[in-house]
Amino acid sequence: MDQIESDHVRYPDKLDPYKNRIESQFGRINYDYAGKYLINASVRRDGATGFSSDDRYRIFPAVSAGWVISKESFMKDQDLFSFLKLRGSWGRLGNPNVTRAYTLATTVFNDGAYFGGVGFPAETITEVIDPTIGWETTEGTDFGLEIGFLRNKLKIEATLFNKLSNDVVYRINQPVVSGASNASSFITNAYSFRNKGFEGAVNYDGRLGNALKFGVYANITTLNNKITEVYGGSFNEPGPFLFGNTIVRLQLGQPVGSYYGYKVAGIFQNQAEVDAAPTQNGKTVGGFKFADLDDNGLIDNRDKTFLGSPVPKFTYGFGFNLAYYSLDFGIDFQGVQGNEIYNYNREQRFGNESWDLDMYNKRWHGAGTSNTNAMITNNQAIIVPNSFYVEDGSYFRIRNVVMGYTLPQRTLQSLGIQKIRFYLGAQNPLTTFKYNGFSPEILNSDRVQMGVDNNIYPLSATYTLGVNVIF
Amino acid sequence: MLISGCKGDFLDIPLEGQTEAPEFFQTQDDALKAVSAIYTFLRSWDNSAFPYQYLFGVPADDVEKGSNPGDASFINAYNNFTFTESDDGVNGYWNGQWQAIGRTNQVITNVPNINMDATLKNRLVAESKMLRAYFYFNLVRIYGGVPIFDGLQENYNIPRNTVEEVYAFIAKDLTEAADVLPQTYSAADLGRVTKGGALGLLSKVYLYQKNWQKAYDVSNQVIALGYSLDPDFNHLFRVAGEFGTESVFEVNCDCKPGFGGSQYAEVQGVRNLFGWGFFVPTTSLESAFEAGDIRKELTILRQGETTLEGDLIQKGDPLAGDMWNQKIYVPKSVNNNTCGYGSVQNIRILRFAEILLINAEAANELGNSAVAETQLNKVRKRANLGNTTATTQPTLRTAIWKERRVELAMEGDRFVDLVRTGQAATALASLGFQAGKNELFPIPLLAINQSNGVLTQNPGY
Repeated sequence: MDQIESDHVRYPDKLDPYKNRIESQFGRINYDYAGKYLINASVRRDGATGFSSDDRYRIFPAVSAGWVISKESFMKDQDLFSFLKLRGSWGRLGNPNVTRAYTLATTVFNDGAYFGGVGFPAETITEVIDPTIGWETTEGTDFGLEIGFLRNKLKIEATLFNKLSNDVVYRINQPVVSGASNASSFITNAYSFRNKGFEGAVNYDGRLGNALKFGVYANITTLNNKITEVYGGSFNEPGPFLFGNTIVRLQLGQPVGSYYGYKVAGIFQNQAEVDAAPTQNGKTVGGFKFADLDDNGLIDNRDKTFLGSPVPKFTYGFGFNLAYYSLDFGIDFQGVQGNEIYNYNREQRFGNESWDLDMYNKRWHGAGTSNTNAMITNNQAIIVPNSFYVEDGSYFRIRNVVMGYTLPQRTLQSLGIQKIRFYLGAQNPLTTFKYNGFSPEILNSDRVQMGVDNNIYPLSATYTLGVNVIF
Repeated sequence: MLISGCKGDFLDIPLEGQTEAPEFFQTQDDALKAVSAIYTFLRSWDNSAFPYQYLFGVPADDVEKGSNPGDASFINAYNNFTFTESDDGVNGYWNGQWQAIGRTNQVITNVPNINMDATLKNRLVAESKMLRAYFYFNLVRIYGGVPIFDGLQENYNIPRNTVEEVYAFIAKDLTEAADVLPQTYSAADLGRVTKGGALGLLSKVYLYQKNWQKAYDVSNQVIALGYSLDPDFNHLFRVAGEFGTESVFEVNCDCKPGFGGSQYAEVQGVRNLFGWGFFVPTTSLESAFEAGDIRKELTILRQGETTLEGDLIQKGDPLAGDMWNQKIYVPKSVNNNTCGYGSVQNIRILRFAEILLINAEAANELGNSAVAETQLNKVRKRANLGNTTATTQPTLRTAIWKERRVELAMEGDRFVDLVRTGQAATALASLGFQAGKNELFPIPLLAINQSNGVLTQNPGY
């Protein structure tokens, strides 16, 4: 039995009235028949304060099975496969780490009411809650194949996965007409989505002669992300807001976190162009000209469209390592391809804060100077979500590189030292990307705004020079 | 496999340091506090200061932005009818009114279940219905048909009701409230809405619906309750005149420690002498007064004048204009600056003078010009004017409309009156008013987005 009490901090500067507790029970069975047939089944029952008493406890089962074909007697006479395994798994899990939102407190109005010139205290309920908020769950299924060739020097792994995230707990917009003070942060089971993809990995360990040992590897993961259910039926636009405009729209069939806004058709170069263009709020020389997608001569909400998503098409990595006598060398590359970043830093600083050099250099500053970048202005009609802020988020990086030299053992034995290795290493020394921000790796912890670069601090590069000594 | 031996309530953790919503609405005290939460909104920023002026003030030909030209110049969009559905002002007023309606519905749904004094319980529900009607009346005049929520709802994402449905809902609330509300309160409850307030508002609602017979009948009911005009038009708007004989619906404002004030007067007060100097009279209003009308100089506070109370008006900002709203003027001698200038000034929402004018207008439309003239002349007499020269139905109609303009100037009625009477297109054309569009303001874009398109936009936006 495992009981955990966590003091979940929601208001850093205040007493948090919303404590959370989690309660779990867990059981597991392992079955292994001669290393050939493997079955693992588990079941857990979880309860969490974060959910309404209607749906507080859930049972989450999981099962996985493997068949090591290479151990079958009929495989004895072949020498192509040194290892061959088929595996599959299915499981459900719950996420108890949600904000407690089924209970709420009253609101006290400090200004009260006056009757006969005397203050009278005022208090009422101003929030709406979802009293039936229930478990957020994931349900994953995968099938995989593991193959070893050449006495397992060459290993290949391939997995197909399909993961459903259901009833994700998130704050969304509730109609303002409810009068709720939390209308833009109504916490509920907001949406569900599916992540489908393929994972492949290849690994080869080899030798050239006696002195040179080497290993190479490569892997790739493809992702197909799609919203399967959303509060309100078809779409919802949660924050962040900038001057009342939202950036992300959760819509059926679209990837989670997709950006939604106007498409920039160019920059107004002169007054004649402004006058000739469709009606557009705040249109001005040097400002963005938006595409009139419905062709009705008016730029409005109906001209917004999906501008990209933070979900990559695929991620990949590869690398190799070498050992030659006392010298060793290793390098790892990693990359992400096909995602878009929303450069919120640029958007919110458009008017009067700091701008990046590229934005300054390429800004419109007179007819013919740019047809992509607008002038620098604090005109809030211009600073609305649009395709200018959506940028390619792909990157390629040297994640790690290391070189080492190990002193010959016989010189050390007399000192009682087993091993001394000198090394020189670098983490993240080089990243190539097109994105106009500090770092293409956004790491925004918000699950809907994951691609919105809102003051994201860049990843640091680390260089190390070191000695390993083993006694 | 393990079997749980835990108590079921391990996960039930009460909120610390706050009242949990299910624990509220249990006592009489809770009911009183929840009703106060509605009243406090009446003097809020949204309902009485800027957003209210964007919609009920500045669009009319009587009020302009004021202050100095550069300060809050975005307000000019309401003077020139260039605002859009994305404008903060449209959005702010909308949000505020719905929050207020939410507070009324908390009471209307929850208070009937409280075990408490039955008379008080009925009265509190009736007060909330009258106030809910007032907020809906604001919404329907500004935005047109809006969703009707009679009590707390499971689902708020419903389409707009029609203007007629909203008016019917308002009339029902006011009728039910008037049946229960007392006409007078003890001094300690002064400022709570009354039977006369509910009926007075109802007569105005019927006026907007052009239901002349009912507007006439209900305004007669109000007249029968014993109100009378304050003989002194200056006294009427001073602190000493609060809750006087003419007061039909009035918001009590004060400045007591811990309860704060209202910015209703502060935002309009003489620029950098008293307040911010916004929402000032126009020259068009100035010239609308007849010669000899004492209301003119009691409505317009001028640079350089010395008031009857002895204050010399000297603006503190050379870029500001030279006229301000005198109806919100709080003399230095009675001002309490602890909560900002003019925080003690009550907000007059409905005065008996308007009831007389509603009665006159309805009577005239019903063909009873004798009554119309009588009521109109009562209002004119107090202004030191002679009897109206109008005698026919059309001339009386125009005379009553004009009287409303000067009697109710700067009180938030001019724009909606122009729309109601069909004069807006001509009277406001030079300001940019577009007929078929600007009779209503746009539903805020955010609200439409949040509704997934269930809410539809008004024509032209």
